[in-house]
Amino acid sequence: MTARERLAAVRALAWRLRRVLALAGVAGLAVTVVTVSIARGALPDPRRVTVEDVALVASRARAGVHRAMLPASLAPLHGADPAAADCAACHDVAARVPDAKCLACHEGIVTNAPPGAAARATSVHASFEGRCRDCHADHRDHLVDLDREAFNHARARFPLEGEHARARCEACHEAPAQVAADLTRMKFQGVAHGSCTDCHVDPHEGEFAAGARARGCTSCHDAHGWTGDALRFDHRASGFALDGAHARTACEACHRTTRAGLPVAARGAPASSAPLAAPRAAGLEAPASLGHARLRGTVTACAACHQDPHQGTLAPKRCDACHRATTWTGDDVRFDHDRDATFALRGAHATLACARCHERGHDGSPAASLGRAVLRGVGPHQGATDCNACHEDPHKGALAAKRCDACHDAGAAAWKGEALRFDHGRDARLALDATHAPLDCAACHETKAFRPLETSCAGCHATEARALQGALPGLAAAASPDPHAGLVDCARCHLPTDRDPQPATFAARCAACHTPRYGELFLAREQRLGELLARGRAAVTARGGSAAEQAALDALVRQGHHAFAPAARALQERAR
Amino acid sequence: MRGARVVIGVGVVAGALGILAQAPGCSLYSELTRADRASTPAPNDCAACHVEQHAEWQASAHARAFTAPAFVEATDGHAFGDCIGCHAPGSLYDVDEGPPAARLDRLADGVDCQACHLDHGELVGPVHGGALVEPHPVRVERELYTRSELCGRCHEGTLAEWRRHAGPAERTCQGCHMTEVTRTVTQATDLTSRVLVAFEDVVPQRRHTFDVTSVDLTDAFVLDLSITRGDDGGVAAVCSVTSRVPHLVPTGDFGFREAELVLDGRDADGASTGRVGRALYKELGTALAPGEPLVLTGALPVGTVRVEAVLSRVGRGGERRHVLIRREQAVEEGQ
Repeated sequence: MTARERLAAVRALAWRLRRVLALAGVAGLAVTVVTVSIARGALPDPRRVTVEDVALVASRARAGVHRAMLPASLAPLHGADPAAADCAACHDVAARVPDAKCLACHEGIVTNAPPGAAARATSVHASFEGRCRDCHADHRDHLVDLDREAFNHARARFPLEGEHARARCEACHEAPAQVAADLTRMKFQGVAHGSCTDCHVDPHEGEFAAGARARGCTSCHDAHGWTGDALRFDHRASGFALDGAHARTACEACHRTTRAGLPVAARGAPASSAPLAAPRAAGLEAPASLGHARLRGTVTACAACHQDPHQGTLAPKRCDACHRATTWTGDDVRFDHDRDATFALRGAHATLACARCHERGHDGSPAASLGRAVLRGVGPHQGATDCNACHEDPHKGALAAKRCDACHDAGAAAWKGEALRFDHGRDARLALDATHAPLDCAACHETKAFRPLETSCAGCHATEARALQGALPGLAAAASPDPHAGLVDCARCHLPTDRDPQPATFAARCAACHTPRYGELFLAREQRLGELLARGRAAVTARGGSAAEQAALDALVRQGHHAFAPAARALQERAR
Repeated sequence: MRGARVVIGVGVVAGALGILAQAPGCSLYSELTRADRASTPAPNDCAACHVEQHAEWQASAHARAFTAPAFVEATDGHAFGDCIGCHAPGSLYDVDEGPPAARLDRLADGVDCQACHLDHGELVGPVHGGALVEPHPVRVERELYTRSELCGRCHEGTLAEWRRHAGPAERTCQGCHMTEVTRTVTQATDLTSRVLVAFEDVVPQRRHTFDVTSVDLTDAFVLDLSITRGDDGGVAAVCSVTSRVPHLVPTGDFGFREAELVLDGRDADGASTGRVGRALYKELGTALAPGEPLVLTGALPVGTVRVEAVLSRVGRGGERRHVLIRREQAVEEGQ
């Protein structure tokens, strides 16, 4: 039993007791009045009382009883003066007011409609149970308890919840201005309440009224609160989830303008109740707030709010390819240099600090942070393996026509020695034959520049080539060229497959073109050179010659193969 | 006249023979027939009578075979002795085949008379002089001295080429390199020799010049030269040379032997406009083989009006030593 029902029961009991007491009071009063009146002579002597007197008294008594029984006047529509009313119009003998009597005048009112019936949706009363008098008792000046406390608005098809419960009645129920506070003059029925906008101004000016994202006000707002924390708005529904720092960002930081293009006041503007629609909210200015901000259509591109530290150089990559709202710098950057850049970080590159390569900002000054550094277009990023952007070219540009990675593998643990992917035959102009393959690089390449050398034999073996032309080291006058000079390729005698050629090897080469006698001639010359060398060494030693002189003898012997006669002559001179 | 000479001659010779007869086995020119390898007859000895032969020989490479600077250098100042058997040979009769053994004396005389004509003290030759009195006995080996194999004892490689390329009716080495001549075997230099020569017959024999310079090369090579002017004014020359020489050109196993075929362009003033050449070496396989045409094409610049094609032997310095065939031709001007 609710408090309301309890109150109704107490009232019914009091009503019945009052009638009993009233009847007893009236009877007692009548006896008293009659007695007193008789005693004062106001009344005739009962023995002289006429029928008219009795009738008069009865009439007066009846009126007094009536007044005593019906202390409250009727509702205006019911005639206000109960005394003038026809009681039976409403009451039956049992003093009850049956629904039928009400409905005799108030036609068309449906009550107790079964759930689902059409009337239940359209009629205020259709869903009510009980009798008319349960709600509309008269003799109280009014038929409806318009008392804010007493009126059960929940039964009026629009339960007052939250802020609605605190709203002033006239906010919804219009009344003529001059009777603004007169509840009885207000319009209660027929107040539109199907849509929030029946009362409220849509601060969003229809932003959410139509389109793919159309949703009712209640998807975000309810009567318990519609702004701030009470907002039942999940930003994810907007297509732009507020993660990380975005969740901590003031709304106005993004929703900065109203739909009219005016700036939205910063958060902290006085909160107010939901603005109401004119005219019911006449005079209530819509405050500058998020509600007025342009909510839909806010550009979600990062660059709309964030300044691109990369200054557009990473376009057309999307920011979220690397950055998340939760974390966007340091180790949390979801950037895989191997996958996302054109330069995979392999080998020693993988351990380098970013700034070793990305050291400059777009203005050329040292970058304060990686994000402000030039990321694209740094050296190797340019597609070619412009390793020189970071590395000093030890070859001094001599190999500029080659790609560094033709020989050096950045992914390897080392870039020289065994790790070198260099094939002299493939990558240089000279295939190293059995004679040259075992040589140390420095035997031919004097510096690490590895400048391309002459591929002709004479390019490296200049001394031999000169000897073949008759010019021996340390000799002033040139002898006549060897007959082979300029006619016979070196390789006719020096086969590429020769690993450790012996004199007999070359003797056979002589015989291959000439007669075997030339082979013998060659061997004889070898022997002769050996003898001359021994004599020369002895002579140099005897006269205390320097090591350089001895070396000169060796050089002469070496060149003696290509210029026997002048070499032999020179050796003989030195042997003296 | 002739009768008087015969009478005088008979008297003189009879007297001489009388002198000679006093010492049997020891003739007037006994030094020519000594069989001492350490002291062989010198060319100068032969020259007393065989004047022309000696002169021919002396101008030939045979005389310079040992002293030629190229040989001296090639043998390291004669230190390499293997070559001396051919460059200063003893008698080829001393060994059965192949190059003779090295001579022990007079090396500077090179390939001298005794190398071919002295057989253990006996002088040998292809013809008999027919003199009334012979200062030295002569054994005639006509067939041997006409055969290439005689030369091939030293010129082994060339002989091999000749054998490979020469047909059955081909001329021998001597056929080209020892020009035929009809004369007496000796030529008088003094009274005695005049007497002796007077009784000699004039017989066909061969000169001892040997060198290519003495060879008649008239039909040795066939050279075709085609010269046309192109649309751009340049000259395209095509030269084809076919050798009929029955050995390679150049030939020889030793030393520096180069031949070259050259196309020389000349303008209207005779100045050279360009030169296209090809060097020919036996050792490099580029020598001219008989019957195998060598085709040389060359582009010569605008202004060339004549082209000369020359096949020649050249020396170490590129100098032209002997022209084998030469053809000069004007450019055929098109319509």
